Amino acid sequence: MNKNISVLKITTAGILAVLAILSFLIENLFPPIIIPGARMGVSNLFILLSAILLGGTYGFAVLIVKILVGSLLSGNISSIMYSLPAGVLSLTIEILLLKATPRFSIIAVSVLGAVINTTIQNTVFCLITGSTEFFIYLPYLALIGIIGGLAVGFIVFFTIKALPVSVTEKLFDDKDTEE
Amino acid sequence: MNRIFLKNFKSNKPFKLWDLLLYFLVAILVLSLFCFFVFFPARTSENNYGFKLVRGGKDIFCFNYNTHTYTLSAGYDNLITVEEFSEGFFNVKVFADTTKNSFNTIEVDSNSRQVSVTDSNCSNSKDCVHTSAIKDGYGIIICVPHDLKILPVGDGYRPIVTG
Repeated sequence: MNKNISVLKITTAGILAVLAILSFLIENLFPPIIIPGARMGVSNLFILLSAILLGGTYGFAVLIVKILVGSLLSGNISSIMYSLPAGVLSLTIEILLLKATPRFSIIAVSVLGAVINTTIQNTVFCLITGSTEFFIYLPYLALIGIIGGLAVGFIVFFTIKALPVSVTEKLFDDKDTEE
Repeated sequence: MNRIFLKNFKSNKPFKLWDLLLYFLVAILVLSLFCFFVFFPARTSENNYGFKLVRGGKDIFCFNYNTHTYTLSAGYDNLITVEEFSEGFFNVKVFADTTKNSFNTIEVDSNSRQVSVTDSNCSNSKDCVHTSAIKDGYGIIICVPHDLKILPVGDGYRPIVTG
């Protein structure tokens, strides 16, 4: 029984990873939103979903797979250098906030995570390329991050609300009942 | 995350009072970013007379809007071509290496002192092409895959943040 549930979790994580990669690639086909490099971050939706439904470990796994495979397939391998630290840090903060206290909603946590993600990405990009002049785009990227975070947060919230209990129950075994 | 966490999550509301704290933190962060990088820093050159191309931290090309002349760094004669296609309008084609497989096409409007990247084969997203033009001596265009930066130059040029 435990082995079947683990396989189910891994399969679910795999599907979410594929969806994250696909949405990342599709987003890259479109021109950036006003500012170079600005994206809505739709792929973060699947990363957050995997973290909430399956756990932090699976969330990080989906994140890393999305960044590595997505960067390779989009032909922008250099983006790994700034996407990876930003993604890991923002997801860590989101998971810590969600686990530490039930006081915050997923939407607010998603907004904070998105702003941190875009800020760190832009900062690391500027430091690695030595282009400190690019910092002028940082505030506008943070604003776009707020909008993206709100959208992702709302979608995750209503998606999990809509998932039947019979579906989510299959993801857990008896050990997962402990608080 | 476990069964009880998910059960509590499903019964949550989309907005909680403590969210205001997070939104306040985000607002402070964004406002401080605007103050530090947009509202208060000095803008570049009051006497913007041209632009320069930088590769590997080294200036490789400099164009003067007033005289329509340019200077090339040694070794870049075959990698950068300049063509005037209309009065005051120039196309500057920059190749990344001697194979000439990778390029950036830069359009220069010396009348209105604007420069922008119009074409490139750097990546699928072509961020350099979608970056807004450098004008009024303000802005920067970067092509990371081709290691190319386009910066305005002028008498009073000061970068936004000194690196």
